[in-house]
Formats: sequence, structure tokens, C-alpha cells
Amino acid sequence: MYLITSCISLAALLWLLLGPYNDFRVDRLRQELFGLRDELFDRAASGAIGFDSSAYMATRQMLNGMIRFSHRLSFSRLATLVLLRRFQDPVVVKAFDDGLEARLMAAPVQDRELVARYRQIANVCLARHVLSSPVVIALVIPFVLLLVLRKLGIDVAQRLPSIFRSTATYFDRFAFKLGRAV
Amino acid sequence: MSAKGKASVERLQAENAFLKRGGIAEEVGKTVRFLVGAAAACFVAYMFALCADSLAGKSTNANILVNLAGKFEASLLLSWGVGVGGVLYGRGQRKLRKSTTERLTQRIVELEQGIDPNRSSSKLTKTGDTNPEDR
Repeated sequence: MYLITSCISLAALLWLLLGPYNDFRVDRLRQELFGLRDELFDRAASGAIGFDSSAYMATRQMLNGMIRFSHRLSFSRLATLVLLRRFQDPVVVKAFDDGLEARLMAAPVQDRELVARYRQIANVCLARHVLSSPVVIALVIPFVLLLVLRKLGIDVAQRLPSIFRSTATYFDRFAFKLGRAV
Repeated sequence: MSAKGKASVERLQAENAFLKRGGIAEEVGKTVRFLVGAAAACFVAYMFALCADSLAGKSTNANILVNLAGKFEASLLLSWGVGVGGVLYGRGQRKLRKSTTERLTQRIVELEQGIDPNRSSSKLTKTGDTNPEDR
């Protein structure tokens, strides 16, 4: 009896992780990127940057691309792209990269500085999306973490309490600073 | 070849290489996704097979489903109820969010186009779903 219900629960859990949870991750990423795009639009509407600025148009276009293809963004795709890029002729890679960079460089410095923040936040959102994949959480993160710790010669079991304490202290300080900044 | 011509050839080669990289990454991603799904399905099927195997010699009731229905405990029913209820609640909220998105999208587009006539779009559907062309 319990064996069967456990199997059904396991099937339901896997369905949740690989189905609705993945859809939720894509929707969450899109929501964050839409928020960024709206914020950038508001900055342009307030006159902080021109709607015809090449930096604004390039950044908006980049955000649109990210929103549009969020569903295709995965750890395996990203890893393949990075891996293939390493074997590519650097001259060819640079010739392509010039498209976005050239449009950004054509804009005044203050416009470039303004959009740089949005690009950074968008990249953080993408990284979080990729790292929150159930496959990455289940397979890659523990493996990489153990590998790094082993490389550093750290005995995990022995260091765990002090690692937790120092992390908690850091978060406490961080929360204190956030609480003070009204 | 002139410098301008060489530059455009380089750009075309770069774009071509980028598209190739994207195509390969796309196929790798699809394959990995399929393999993960298939592995999960196989794992569950294997577990069910183990289950049936272990029950085969012990149960006198031939119909497992009847047995299952008869032995449902209140605590088990409650936990399943919470799980299924949670999923249904999530689905309902998602549906509600999509209908709100659909209702507000057109309005936002019109208002923003009034300020920026060259406003570019993400090409998602009105409900915020992936464009069928991009699937």
C-alpha cells in the first residue's frame, strides 16, 4: 500500500519539478525582465535618457530578446554556447559582438552608464534562472561545491558550523545596513 | 577586396557562426530535456515495477486498485488533498494572472506607444505566453 502511494507521490513530484515548476521559472524570469524594461522606459519618459538613444534602443532590444526566448534558456544550452564559443576564432567572435557594443559605444557616456545597471541586473536574473533549474540543483551544484571545497582542502563536516556562523553574521550585518537605509 | 567589403564578409561569417552555435546549443538543450524527462519516466516505471514485484507474493487480493482504495487512511487522504489542492490553487492563480495580463497588455502598449512611437516589443502573446512561432 505505502509502496504504491510512494510511487505515485514520486511520479507527481517529478511531474511538478519538470513541468509546472519549470513553467513558473520562465514566468518569473519574464516578470523580472518586464519589470526592468518598464523601469528603463520610465527613466526614458522622465528624460533621464532619450527614446532615440542608441544605448536605450539596444538595451531594450536586448531585454526583448531575453523575454522572448526565456523558455529556451537552460544550463545545457548555455554551457554548450560557452563551450562552442571557446573553440571559435576570436576575430569572428569579435566581429559579431561589435553589433551590440557598437550601438552602446555610439551613445553618450551618461546613457551608457545608465543602461549598464539594467544589463547587469538582467544578467543576474538570467544566472538565477539557470541556477534554479531542478537538474542543476540536483546534480551540478553539490558536485561543484564539493569539488571546490576539496580543491581548497576544506573538510566540510569540520568547517560547517563555523561557515554557517560567519554566513549568518554577514546576513545580520547586511540586514542591519538595509534597515538603517530608509 | 576593399576594407569595407572585408569587414562585411567578417560580419556575415560571424553571424553565420553565431547561428550555427545557437542551432547546436538548441539541439543539445532539446536532447538534454528529453533525456531528463525520459530518465524520470523510466525511474518512476522502474519503481512501480519493483512495487508490483514485491506485492506479488504478499497480497491475496488480486486487484491492487481495489485494495488501494480500501486501505486509504485519513492522514494519507489529507496529505493528498493538500497536494492536489495546492496544485489546483496554483493553476487557478496562474489562470487569473494570465487573464489580468491579457486585460492590461493592450492598454499599456497603446499608452507607451503614445510616448514612444518606435516602441519595440518582446513578441509574446497577449497573455504573456511564448509566441507559437518561437517554440
